Amino acid sequence: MMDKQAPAPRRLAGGDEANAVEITAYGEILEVFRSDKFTATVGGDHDHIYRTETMVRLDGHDHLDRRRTMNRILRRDGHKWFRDTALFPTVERNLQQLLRHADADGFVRVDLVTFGLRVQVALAAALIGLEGVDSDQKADELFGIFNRIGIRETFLEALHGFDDADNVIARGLEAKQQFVDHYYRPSLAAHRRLLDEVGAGHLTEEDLPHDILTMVAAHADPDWVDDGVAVKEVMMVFSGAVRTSADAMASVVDELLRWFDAHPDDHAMGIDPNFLLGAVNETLRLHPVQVAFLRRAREDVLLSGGTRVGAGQLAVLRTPVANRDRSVFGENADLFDPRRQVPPGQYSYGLAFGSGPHMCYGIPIVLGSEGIDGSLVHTLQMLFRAGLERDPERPPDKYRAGEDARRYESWVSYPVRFRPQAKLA
Amino acid sequence: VSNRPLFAVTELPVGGLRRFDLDGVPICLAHAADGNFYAFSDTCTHEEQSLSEGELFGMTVECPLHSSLFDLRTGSVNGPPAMLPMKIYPVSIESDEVCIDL
Repeated sequence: MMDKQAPAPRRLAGGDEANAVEITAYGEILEVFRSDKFTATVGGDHDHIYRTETMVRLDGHDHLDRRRTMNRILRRDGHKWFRDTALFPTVERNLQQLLRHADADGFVRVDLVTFGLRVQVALAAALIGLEGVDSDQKADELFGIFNRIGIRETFLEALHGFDDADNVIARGLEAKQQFVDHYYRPSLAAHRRLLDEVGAGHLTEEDLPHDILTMVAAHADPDWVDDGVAVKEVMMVFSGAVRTSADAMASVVDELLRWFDAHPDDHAMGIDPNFLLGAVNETLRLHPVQVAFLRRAREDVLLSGGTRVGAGQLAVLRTPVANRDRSVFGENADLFDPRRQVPPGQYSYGLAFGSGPHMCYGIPIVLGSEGIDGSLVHTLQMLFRAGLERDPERPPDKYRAGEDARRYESWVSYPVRFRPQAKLA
Repeated sequence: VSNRPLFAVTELPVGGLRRFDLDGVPICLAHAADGNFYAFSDTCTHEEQSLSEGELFGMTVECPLHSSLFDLRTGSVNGPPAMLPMKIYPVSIESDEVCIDL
């Protein structure tokens, strides 16, 4: 069983909170995301272990160059290839396997969080090119390593530090080394052997895997010549893909089941891709997986709504608050409405993926090229087609920390069940 | 300003993109796979990114930052995260010069 307990972001000494400006207005947050007067280089004391010099920390043309390299994997139909070859077969295989093991009363009972984490680990491993992640046991092991690395604990370190830093970092360094020794280096070595085969004329470039480690092995970016930055880049991709998507899936199911309770006529819409896309967008808007984004001002800035951010100050972008902005999403912005229409040019999912140059790298996988062919809509269709329903005997469990704009939530478990003789359509 | 000559047709090879600033308006010119030239606003409608730093494939221009896709002929969005179409401008060839009608 996976260790799913997520740690809490804590307000503690060590950060730059006294020198921070909180921004909650949708328009002002967009301005900051898009402005070159702010830098994304906002790491805390331990950022060199996790994020320094990776795509999330670079600015300007350095960022564009790295992003352009990373985009080679997902652009055009690349994202579709990952969904078709890695995600959907994994979802289908895992579901088929689960549906064969009914309890004595005929119901199949599943924890949606465990299920979601396993399929997302498989997808992330394929995207990166990590080898040996070919069973539930290995997926759980890899997720467990990442849970100990400390990426989530250090996410807002520049703002408010984090609890028990010495132990978190010691544990994190040990887990990072474990990841490097057991997964990263063996996988990279295998990719290098394939490149050698191409060099010897035994393979062609078309035979190479379409993944990040192929680019790392080929030194597609000059900063990837040694492992330092490349390992961190891979860690960022993995952590950005797995927990967030698994949480989002449980949240969509939760919102939809409550919607169907209140709107029984909509129950059949659980397999309608456009309806599900609306549900996904609304869920991402109302339950964003990040409590805030950070930027630091390079100079004094006066935003359009009157907020001033002084040179050197941190801008704390409270996107979960902005995502409920009534001037953008209407008077019922606090409510889940899968049929919501947003003004032209606005994101239906709010600022869940951020915005500006650093907007989330994984959007093409999550949303697909038409929205309805993304990973979440497709997975939800499969689950509802198989007859997913709430498990009345086991309530879901959610981890909560903080209040109001600082509230952080993550699903610990979300038990569901499938009716007897359920099968995939 | 109409039908302003920009450059000789031989200066931009097929598959090429080039940015021009015309009266303060950033314009991107593309020499597409069908042999024709197409002009459009150089700034991606999604975020402030120059499309001339992107790539052409087929009749589509791809933004280098988030890989949004736009149809050269209509300006319509062929791939997210862009949501709004790009502005396109008429192009003509006069005396072997590529001209744009702003």
